[in-house]
Amino acid sequence: MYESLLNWLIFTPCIGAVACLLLPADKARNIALGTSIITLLMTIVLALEFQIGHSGPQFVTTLQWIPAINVQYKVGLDGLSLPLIVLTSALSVLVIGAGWKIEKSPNIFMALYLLLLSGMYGVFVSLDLVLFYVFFEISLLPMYFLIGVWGGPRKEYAAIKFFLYTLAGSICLLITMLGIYNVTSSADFVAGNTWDMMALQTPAIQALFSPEGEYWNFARWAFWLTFIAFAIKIPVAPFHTWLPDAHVEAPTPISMILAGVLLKMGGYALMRITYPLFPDAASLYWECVACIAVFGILYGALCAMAQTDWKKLVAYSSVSHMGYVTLGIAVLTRTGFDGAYYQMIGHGITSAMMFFLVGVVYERAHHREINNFGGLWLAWPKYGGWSMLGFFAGMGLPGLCGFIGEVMVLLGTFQAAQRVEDPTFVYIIGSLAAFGVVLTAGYILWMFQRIYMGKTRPEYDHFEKPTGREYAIMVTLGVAALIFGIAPILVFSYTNATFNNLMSVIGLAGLTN
Amino acid sequence: MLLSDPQWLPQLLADLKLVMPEVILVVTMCMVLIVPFFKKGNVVLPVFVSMFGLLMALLYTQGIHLGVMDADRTGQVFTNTLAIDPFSSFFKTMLMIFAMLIIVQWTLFGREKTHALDAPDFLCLLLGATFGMCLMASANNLIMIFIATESASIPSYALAGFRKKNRMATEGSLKYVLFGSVSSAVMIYGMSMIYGVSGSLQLSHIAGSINQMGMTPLMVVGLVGMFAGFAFKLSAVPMHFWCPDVFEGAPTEVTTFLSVASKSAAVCMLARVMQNLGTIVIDEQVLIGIALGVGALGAVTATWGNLVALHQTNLKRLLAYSSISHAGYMIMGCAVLLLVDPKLILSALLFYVLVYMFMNLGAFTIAAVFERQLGTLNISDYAGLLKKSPVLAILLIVFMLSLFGMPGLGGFMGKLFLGVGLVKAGTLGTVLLGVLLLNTLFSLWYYLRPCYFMVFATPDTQKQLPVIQPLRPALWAILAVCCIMLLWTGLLPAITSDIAQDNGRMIVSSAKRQIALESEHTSTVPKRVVFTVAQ
Repeated sequence: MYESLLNWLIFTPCIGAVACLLLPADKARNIALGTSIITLLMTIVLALEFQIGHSGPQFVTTLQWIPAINVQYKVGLDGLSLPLIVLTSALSVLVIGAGWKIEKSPNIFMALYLLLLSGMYGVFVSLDLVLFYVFFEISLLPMYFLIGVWGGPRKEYAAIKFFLYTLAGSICLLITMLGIYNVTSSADFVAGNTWDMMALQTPAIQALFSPEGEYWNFARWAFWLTFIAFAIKIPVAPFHTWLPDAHVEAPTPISMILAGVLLKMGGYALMRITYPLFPDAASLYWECVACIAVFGILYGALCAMAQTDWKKLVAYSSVSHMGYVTLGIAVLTRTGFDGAYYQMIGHGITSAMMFFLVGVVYERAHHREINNFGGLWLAWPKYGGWSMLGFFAGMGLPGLCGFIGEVMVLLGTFQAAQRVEDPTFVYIIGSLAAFGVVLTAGYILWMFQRIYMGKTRPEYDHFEKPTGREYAIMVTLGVAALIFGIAPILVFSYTNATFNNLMSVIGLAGLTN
Repeated sequence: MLLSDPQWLPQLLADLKLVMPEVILVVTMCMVLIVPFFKKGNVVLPVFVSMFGLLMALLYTQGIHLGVMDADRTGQVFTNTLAIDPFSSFFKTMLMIFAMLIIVQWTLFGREKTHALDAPDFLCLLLGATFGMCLMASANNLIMIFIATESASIPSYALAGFRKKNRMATEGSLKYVLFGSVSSAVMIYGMSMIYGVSGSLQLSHIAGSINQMGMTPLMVVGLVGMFAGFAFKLSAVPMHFWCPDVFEGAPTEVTTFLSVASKSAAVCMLARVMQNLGTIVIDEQVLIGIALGVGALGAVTATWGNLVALHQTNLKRLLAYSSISHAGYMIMGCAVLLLVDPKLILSALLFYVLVYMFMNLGAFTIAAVFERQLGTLNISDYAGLLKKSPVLAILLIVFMLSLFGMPGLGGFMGKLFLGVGLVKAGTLGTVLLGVLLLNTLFSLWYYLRPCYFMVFATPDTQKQLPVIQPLRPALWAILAVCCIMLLWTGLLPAITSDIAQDNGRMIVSSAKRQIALESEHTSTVPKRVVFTVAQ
């Protein structure tokens, strides 16, 4: 009876969006909250019904969508998607809470947000390339309007930049997709062309993309094109420039969902499409990708250190943290993959929390200049305590959720030394990435010191104390950071079987622990 | 020779049955001109007559279409000058529906006094152009191609200058005539060379003669000349200069009509020429050469159209350049028709034309509303329009996004089908696909411009725009149909794409058989002609 639940999960937010537009504007918040709570409940049911230890997709729906070119509406949930779906659902409720006080046409805001939610769910459950692409793009458009209408002073610039950058990535993806579709027809063992992600991971197709295969050249191109497509989304350092602008201009709830979920679409897609489809190209170029990732870690951290705008600092910390995700995937070890995945979940919690903490202050102070703050802890002791938890989780303090991902990525990186002949490169990469942790601690602690420590300022007296709604969001995220810091099994029990399977597809099953 | 055949009369009647839609259109044209003698200054009657005529023609087209499908007849009539096949029938059906929508749009917008007096003229010209475009879709012979192009163009020239007292309209119309006549001259010059080399006017025979003699330089010159004529109708670069001026000056209904019908008819004509060449010509090198040439034309057109559109400030001109780039995409599709399974491309083209029709109709209708009610086409004047008339603003955004190719709307599916066809055509196709997608990326910038002003920008307090009056219900109906069609083709494209698939067939196979037979018997004919030319 739960077979069709996944479809409802995707389309319920759409229905909610229409309701927001049709019903009176002042009801929109309640409708949106109700919709997101319903989807959260659906997600919980899905998680409970999910068969742990089963590697393939579950709750699969397959329908012919465009028979003329063999496109299917195929959705399913496996270990790779489920934790991200849970993260999305949980964050979506909190984000609506964070956007409760939006004054400017709340009904359109909520409708766009719910449409975005549909797009995100769709991305995480699609098992067909065209369907994936459609959801991937559909999630761009609401974001463009959400940043462009409700954003800060340079919102138009940030919105169009975000749209153009990610669209450039999408176009790389579309070219590859069409190429893959074309290539599969020449494999005579396949019945016609296909866009089906699962069918594309079969050994017959994989053989085409191996160095001995007919389409090795294509596979190398395709690897880089899809990598760039998703690297823009993650974002990996040379492609990241849209992110600080988008984050700085976006309103707080949108920053939360952007950092919390949208960036994960990139990492998820690397694990779902790029690496399982082109594993040989990936292992050929792994050093290159690892270098890019480490560059991203260090560059993001150094940029964060140089910022005086509080929100921009958090934005650059996202670049740095998502670098670990790329690194974990790039090194092609099981531990690295696990770490990368856990880093995505952890970063989803911490980045949303950090952006929210910034937002709470910004709403009252109307500026984000780090050097003009100080002594905030004295003014709002409770808020200071939760801030410490949030920022330290972001920093990767042991016992909090940021730690596990980073440590596993670093472990995975050093493990890669076992499979290469000359491990020097691995050691260098690993050490540099580990140095990134130090830099992270540096910029977070320095920021913390400048904002929260020291003498309190007189203007804080005029600030309204954080409300119960705001504390509820902080507490939820803080507790989540704590729980996922001590019980990684919560995620790994779901992902384990799928990752075993993924490793065997990538051909690394024997190499890892 | 025809009369010496004792079967000529039954043959003629049988042929006439297949071209009945065109005959009905001509009769309707005459009727529209006669009607005012009985009731002067009445709009309703001529509109009714022409709508009725179009409807009849439409039904007849569908009847023939089904008949052709059932009986599997060749459908080549009048000694193969016209090909009545699923592709052309589908296209004609779309064209007639479109012409009816245009008439509705024109009737609704007309509030001037002169409207009633102009009605017969306007409708007659519109029907005449529609007639010419129907012929273009079927033309299978050089002479027919020329006649069809001219009979589509000449009414269009007059339509473009229909606002007689408007300076822009007159200028645009004059440019249109000058460009049109020069390109017609070039086209017929090229055709005469083709005839000189191949000794035939029949497309399939010409393709056959390429097989026999290879690409002689004269044939190349001839083909280039002919394609130059096509390029004018398609408003392909470098024959596009008329397009923005005509589109800006002409009444919006005419602009809509020209931007969709005229271009897609030219695409059909090009597709038929390419299809004939692709089916019959054997030499791979020749095929790749032609594909390269046409593909380059398409790529340049798309890129140029987009680059110029980037800094347009006038909504109609922006749409004009956007239509140039869309023509470029369709030309790219035609180019690879030579290299891949034609069914794929033909059905993609049909789908694209269908979607393109609705998105352009919608966008231009809203442009017309803005032009009449706000008195300005300057995009930056639309600041803050989302607040004043949210539904119109949102609809314009939908049409713009569909033109750009946003997934979920029909425009994306059109590009996807075209992309699937392109990528099958080897390196050339992949390069063209790359060009298409890069262009899509550029185009986002200008398609979002109206959206940017309407949604984000704050209105200038100095400049007070008049309030938009409530639109007539029929106008809302047109917009709603366009929007629903775009959503339908974008979200559930299966039915439309199946129909397009079923109709993505052209009749060449019979010609292939024929050419094989004829080359056995009359292989001397082309050689003799070559000899004469050489002298």
